[in-house]
Amino acid sequence: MNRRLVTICITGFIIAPLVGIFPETFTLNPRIVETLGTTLLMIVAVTALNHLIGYAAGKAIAFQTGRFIQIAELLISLPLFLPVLLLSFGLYLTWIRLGLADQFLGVLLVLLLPTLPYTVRLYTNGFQALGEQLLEQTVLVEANRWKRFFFLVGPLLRPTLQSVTLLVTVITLSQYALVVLIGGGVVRMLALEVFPLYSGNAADAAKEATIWLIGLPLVIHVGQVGFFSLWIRIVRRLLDGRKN
Amino acid sequence: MWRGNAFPAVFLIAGMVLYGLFVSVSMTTIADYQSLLTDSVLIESLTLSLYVASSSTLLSLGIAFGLAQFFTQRTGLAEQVLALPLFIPHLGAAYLAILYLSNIPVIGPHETSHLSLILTYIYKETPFIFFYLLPVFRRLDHRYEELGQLLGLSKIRRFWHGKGIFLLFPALEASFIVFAFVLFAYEVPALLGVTYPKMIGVYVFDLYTQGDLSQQPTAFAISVVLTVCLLLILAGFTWWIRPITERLSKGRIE
Repeated sequence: MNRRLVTICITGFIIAPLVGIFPETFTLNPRIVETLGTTLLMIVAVTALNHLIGYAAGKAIAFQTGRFIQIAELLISLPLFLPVLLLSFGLYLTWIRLGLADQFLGVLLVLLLPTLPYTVRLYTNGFQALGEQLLEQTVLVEANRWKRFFFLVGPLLRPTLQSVTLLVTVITLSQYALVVLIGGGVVRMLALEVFPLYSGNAADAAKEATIWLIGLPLVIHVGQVGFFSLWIRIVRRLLDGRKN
Repeated sequence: MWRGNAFPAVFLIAGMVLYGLFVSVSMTTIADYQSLLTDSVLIESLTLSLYVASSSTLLSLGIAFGLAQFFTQRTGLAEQVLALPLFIPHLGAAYLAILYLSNIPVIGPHETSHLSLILTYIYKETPFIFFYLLPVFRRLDHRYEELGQLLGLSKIRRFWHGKGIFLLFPALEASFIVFAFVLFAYEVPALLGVTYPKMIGVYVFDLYTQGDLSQQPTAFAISVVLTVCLLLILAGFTWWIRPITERLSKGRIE
């Protein structure tokens, strides 16, 4: 197959639909702006929890052997194959009893269901790609585990860390039904404002909302790429003792 | 070296999933399940969901498979462009369908063909399957196919023995993930689907949130039945298909 033809087809099908989403005028919809605080806070919290729990679980699945870890892997991937939304009906009743319903924390916990399985998979693949031998050698180079993460493991895992943040952000932003159900409309996130706009007739308002929906992950991704470049530059400078 | 810890993840995920299932079961009686058998709305909704989910999955898989094979030996800008839909939340992708397909008959939103829904999922899921399969394609040992050529195997058998058996399980797994996701999705079908019959996720969610309290046991019963069905498929997948594919691909040199 012709390489140029394939490239043109892919680019056309993927990029062309994105051209028309820019509205003629862009005004800040106050209702959307109001949700940004909660939305960003939720993204940060969900992403942080995903990194913490996913790092530990991914490493365990990559490097531990035995029956337990096989079962653990299966249990962790359950939400990928089961109807999470339908199971959250039952969770909602429990959250009411625990006082977590309509609360930020309740929504945060439930949002781990559609995100954490992907995170653990990404971390497992990342650690497997690095390999056990390489990681054991890093122990010889640097004994302090925090320093080891800062100088070696973190920069080596950069593609994994970036994919996790991106994927978790996109999934979190997309959740309407889960947030409505568990948050009871009290925890207001971006999707709760965007969804009604899409079923309505206001074309420009819907386009503006889409800009937020697609723009937020993009901005966050650009931010993290900058963060990692800076991190690696600092590591280089500290290790070299000279400016690059 | 610290070898990680899977307990927090297992505790949180299995805890929430299994407890959610347990509460759902405890909210229902046998009669609720019996009434499901004669629920024609549910059957229609299930049929529609199966049609949308299987066609989206098969089409995405086919395209992603071809693309992954094409990009095994090369890299380039197009590979990065393919990552773009991963940035777009499903809600945003559904809006693209509303924006461009609204005035087109048959494939537009709210048409019984549900093609707008399927196209949206192809747009979102093809890159997912592509990036799931690409590393597998790149790790394949091309010497198996060369050996097949040497032994004079036909093109199809050469592909099957050289690549197919290694790709079978990852491709099935990625398809299963996409299939289950589309089957129970709410946001996209709620925006693009028709009022009747609804996709199963929309039907049950509306039953739970908009119906009166007497409808809730039905919603719980449907959740339980669907979850158990998927659990059975997953069990078959893990203890029946996985050993077969592992045996098939055994003996490869890493």
